[in-house]
Amino acid sequence: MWDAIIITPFINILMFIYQYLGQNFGIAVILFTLLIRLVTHPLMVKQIKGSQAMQELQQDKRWQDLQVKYKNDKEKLQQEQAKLIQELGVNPFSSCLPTLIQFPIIIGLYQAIIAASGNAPMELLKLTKHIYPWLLDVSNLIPLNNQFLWMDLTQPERLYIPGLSFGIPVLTIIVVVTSFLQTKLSMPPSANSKDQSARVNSMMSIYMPLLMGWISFSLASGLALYFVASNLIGILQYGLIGRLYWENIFPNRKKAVVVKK
Amino acid sequence: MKRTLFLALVLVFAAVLLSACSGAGVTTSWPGLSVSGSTAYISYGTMVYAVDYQKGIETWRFPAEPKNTEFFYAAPAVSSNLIVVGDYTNRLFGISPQNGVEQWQFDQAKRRWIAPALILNDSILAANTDGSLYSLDRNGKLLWSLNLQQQLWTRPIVKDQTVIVAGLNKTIFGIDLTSGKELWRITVEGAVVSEPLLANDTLYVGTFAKDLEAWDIKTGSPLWKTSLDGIVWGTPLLVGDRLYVGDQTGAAYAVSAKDGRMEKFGDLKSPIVASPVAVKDRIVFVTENGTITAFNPNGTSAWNTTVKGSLYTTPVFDGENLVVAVKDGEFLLVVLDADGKVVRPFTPAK
Repeated sequence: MWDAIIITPFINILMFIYQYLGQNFGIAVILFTLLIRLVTHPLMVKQIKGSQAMQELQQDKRWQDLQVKYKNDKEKLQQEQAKLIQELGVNPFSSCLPTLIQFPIIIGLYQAIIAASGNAPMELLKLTKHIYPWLLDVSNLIPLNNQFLWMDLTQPERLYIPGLSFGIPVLTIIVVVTSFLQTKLSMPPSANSKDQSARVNSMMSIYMPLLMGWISFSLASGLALYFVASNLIGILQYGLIGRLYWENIFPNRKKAVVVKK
Repeated sequence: MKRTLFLALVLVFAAVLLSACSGAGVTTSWPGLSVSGSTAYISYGTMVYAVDYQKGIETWRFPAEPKNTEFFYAAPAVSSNLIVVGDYTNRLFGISPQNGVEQWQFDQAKRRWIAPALILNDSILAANTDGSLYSLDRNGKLLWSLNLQQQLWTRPIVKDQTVIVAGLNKTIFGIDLTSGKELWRITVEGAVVSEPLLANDTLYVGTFAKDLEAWDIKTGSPLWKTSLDGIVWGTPLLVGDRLYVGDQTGAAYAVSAKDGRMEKFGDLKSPIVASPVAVKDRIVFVTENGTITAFNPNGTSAWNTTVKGSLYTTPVFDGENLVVAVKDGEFLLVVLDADGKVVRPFTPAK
């Protein structure tokens, strides 16, 4: 079911891009990521607007008063907060629901990239079974050109420099940096830095890039390439809708003016 | 706060899920099988097993301490005093056939070993997915290597002083056995994942372009090409003047070796990945869904047996028994008699 709805169509789109646009797996991964990001762009915009609404709600005086007034009665606090949410017409799920909807797409994309590499007999057999024969010709696809710049996209990436006895994981470093930048730049600054959610956000901006870095370090570099493309396109998307918070990176920089829509 | 924490947990979960379900850490293939005497050598997962299949006893396993980063799928190459097997990192091992003790290790290849090696009288030929063909002495010392610029998944074959090896990128190479210099190359229609069959200076090869091709290696010219319904994974089998081959759609064919005239004599309804094997005067095909089917030379079905699991590995017939390696089955090895009756199943102890 998952295969038929997500993985197989994704693999065919990826392979279609591969066959007709350059016959290079690296280029196909980048273009496929761009395509998926464009398709899910409306969900992303909804998520950002939902987050903004929730943040404004938390800064609302009435909300803060409720927290003080019912600090010892959690049940009552929840009831009153629910009333206020209803009164202001804010949907508390509007920020996380689009994210959750995107997850199957991201996981499917990821699995499609892994499956499409076809670098072992079983993987190649599975890949050939996924291909729609009416759309693509396997004999033209195989073997896939998995070489992109200095990388073999089916292997963890290392750049070997003469004189050094070890390889430098350049792509992993780029993944960590771009993940950090995307998380930081897209996170609205909190009015109260001691706020617990701000602390969680701050932790996230450290741990998530490290986690992504670890995955990129250990697994096929096709996946790391996807992370980099996804992060850079994400930053561009946030920039295009005017939601890049440069002050998170450069605290002395003038704060961005967010225009309410 | 709860919402943010929830989101954080979901993200971490997703990241863990991504790394766990990749399959990149545990690359899969099917068992590699070789038989010598009454011993079957099977490389599968973290182990190479030596099994006396007449008695159903495991003789030894290699390595003594398995590592979850080291996987073996290439069929072991077997001679009387040496076994050579490569793993899915980049190492090729020389092992004693008597006790499974490592004799030497060759680690100059850059990528995994999918192709089985070939042991000759005084050297070893091994093709790696890094694109190089390596010639070693029997102590694992490099004699020469030649980079052919494409992944090599197939066992080399030797005719007189020429090594023939097929590449994934639709090319078959002829290489001088002594010097390692390229002598010739031919381009076929599709990727080749099993070694070609060489008979009387004619090379027969099945490809991913859904065809079977015949080439005269003396002149380097194509003799004929026959289109099939599906991708060809296995090596054709020559019996008399007929070639037998199966494809990924499950079709079994008999093809005239002389002119490529094809006759489809069976539809097994499940992918045929392994090469067919001759069992006395019958031709046996195994399929992904676990069926083992023997055909008479006239194309009628002689017998049919089903085992639990998938059959991608080419079985071996020792003159009396058919030894079948199973992927994801109840047993790793199933031994049948020439009439398809299961004589003995075997699975290694944990």
